[in-house]
Amino acid sequence: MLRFLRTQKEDASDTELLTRFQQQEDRQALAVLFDRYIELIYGLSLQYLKTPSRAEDATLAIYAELQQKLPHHEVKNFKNWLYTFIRNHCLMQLRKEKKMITVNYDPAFMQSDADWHLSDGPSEKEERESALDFCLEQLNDQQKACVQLFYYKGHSYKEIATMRNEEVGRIRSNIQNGRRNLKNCIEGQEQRNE
Amino acid sequence: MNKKEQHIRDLLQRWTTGEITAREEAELLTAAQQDLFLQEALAAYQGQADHDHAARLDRIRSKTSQRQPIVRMIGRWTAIAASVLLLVTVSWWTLREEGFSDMASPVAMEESATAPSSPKISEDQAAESPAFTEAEELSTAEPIAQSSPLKEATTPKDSQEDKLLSRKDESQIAADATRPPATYNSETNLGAGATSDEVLAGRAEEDTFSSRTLPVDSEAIVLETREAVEADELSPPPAPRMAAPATSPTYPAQNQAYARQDEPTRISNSGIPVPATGYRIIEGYVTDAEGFPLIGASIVTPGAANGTVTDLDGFYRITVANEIKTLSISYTGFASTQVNVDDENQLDVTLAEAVALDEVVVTGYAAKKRGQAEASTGTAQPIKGFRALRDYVVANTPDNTPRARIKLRFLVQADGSLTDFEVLKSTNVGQNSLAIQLLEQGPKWEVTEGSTPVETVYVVRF
Repeated sequence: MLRFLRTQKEDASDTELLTRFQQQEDRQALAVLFDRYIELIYGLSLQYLKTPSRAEDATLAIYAELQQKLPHHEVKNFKNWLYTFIRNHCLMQLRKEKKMITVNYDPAFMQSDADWHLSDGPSEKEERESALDFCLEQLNDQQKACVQLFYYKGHSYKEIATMRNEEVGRIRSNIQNGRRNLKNCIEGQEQRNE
Repeated sequence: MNKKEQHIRDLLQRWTTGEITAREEAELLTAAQQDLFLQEALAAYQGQADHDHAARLDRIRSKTSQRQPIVRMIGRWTAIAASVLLLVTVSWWTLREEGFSDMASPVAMEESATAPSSPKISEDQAAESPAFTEAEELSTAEPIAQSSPLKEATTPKDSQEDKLLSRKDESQIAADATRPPATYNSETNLGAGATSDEVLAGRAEEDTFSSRTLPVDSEAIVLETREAVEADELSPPPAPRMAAPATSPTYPAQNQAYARQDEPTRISNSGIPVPATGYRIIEGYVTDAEGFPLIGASIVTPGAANGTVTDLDGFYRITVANEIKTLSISYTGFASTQVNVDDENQLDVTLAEAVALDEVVVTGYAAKKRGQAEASTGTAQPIKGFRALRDYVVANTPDNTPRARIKLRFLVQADGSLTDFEVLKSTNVGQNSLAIQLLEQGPKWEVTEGSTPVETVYVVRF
């Protein structure tokens, strides 16, 4: 059965799977579709519900709800529809819990394009790189090592985790914090130069 | 397009498992800028970077992807096997019952005090009692079949009330799943209590995925339960006590009013309700437009003299006088319906959702002043020019007026008049009204660009 899942996973488009579920009540099709979006569903639920365990519950609830509701909805773009569907589900749940929350979205968390195109001009680039080198030295050992392994040596989180004998999550947060510290530090340097 | 989406999804998956590299992460983050869904999800993951999300995702996957088809297959075969077994048992039971029904009541009473009159009975009782206590322990809501006839009218109702109260209790749900169809008797009911936990074990997981159980499913479980009961009861010879169904109806509660007042319904030996003459039983399911059961929908006769509510499967059964020709069915959020019941005994009702508003969230995006809202963008100036306006202001300012600057905002109307004055800034509040008055009565303005009214700002100097 797993192989069955795999083969379907490769070809059929969202719309095909959706039609198959809606018209032929093919639950497998929904399962495949759900499997495709599971990371996004869980992630978005996490964004609203804040704790992993609640997000997990919500994801399962959403699956059950999809089975019931999807056949009766006309869905043009599954991804967009799903996004709204999850949001409504989570907001409903929060409202039930009588808690109004705001979704914090911290743009600093996300890297912007600008960070990846450093070539504004040779002098500026050099300046930035020296700032980067300087700032890298300021990081604590853990973060520094992780950042170097990840960005300079091109290892994956998992590889670093094995190398350093730590958990993947630990590495991930080291890199993330390191990156944030670097960013703040570099910005500070630039301001000083101006 | 599809390929790309697939690729991004793979990247996200690699992110959660930690297999991602720096370059891939950058790709993922760039993709997120175009995709709000991904962006928010990723933000959440990053917010809790040190949690092992991959494990949770695996768990969710294992719960959602595999089980269903297998369960369905098992369910079908069990249902077939169980129904065959049931048929055999029911016929066997009916045959036996005639022989035992006379013995039933003395033995039932014996339970409380008196010594067994024959060794055979005591033996049976001994064999039976452990099973009985077990059932009692496991399922407190089950009516126990040995009490006085007085109790018989109320017991089933109580049990249903209990069920309604503790609906969240999962074991109760399992017990409810064994709600009897027409040919139900206390034997299976008692046994159902004993096996409800086993059934639950299978069901609890299934429930996670289909919070509403379709009638078909629950029937399969009823059958399954019976099968288990059969297995239990075939080994020891069935005790006389078990012939008690005659005194213990466990079909769904008749409505309370009837049970107390005139008892139009009696229960036959086989547990099937038999209405008194002049009355009849109507039963059926109440569902919504999509076929889902409506739990707790009310069914009342005209004038609401008599009524009942649907159970967890949307099933109801009501005993009404023969002359009653309509039933009205209502449920919160659905349009109430009157249905004709000429001489049907089976009546399934589908309710249409009433037009009602969901909760409404009102969001304010921006507050606008009246003038602003009406004004269009454009430019306006005094007909004779700003210099003329300035001269006018100077000429009409009373002597010894203190110096001041008053910044005004106003609308220039189509006829050149000025309205909706608002003081934006003033160095001498006492002269605000004078400044407004001067502009109002001064030279007309004209709109040189845009459509009227146009919002304009002008500073009056004294």
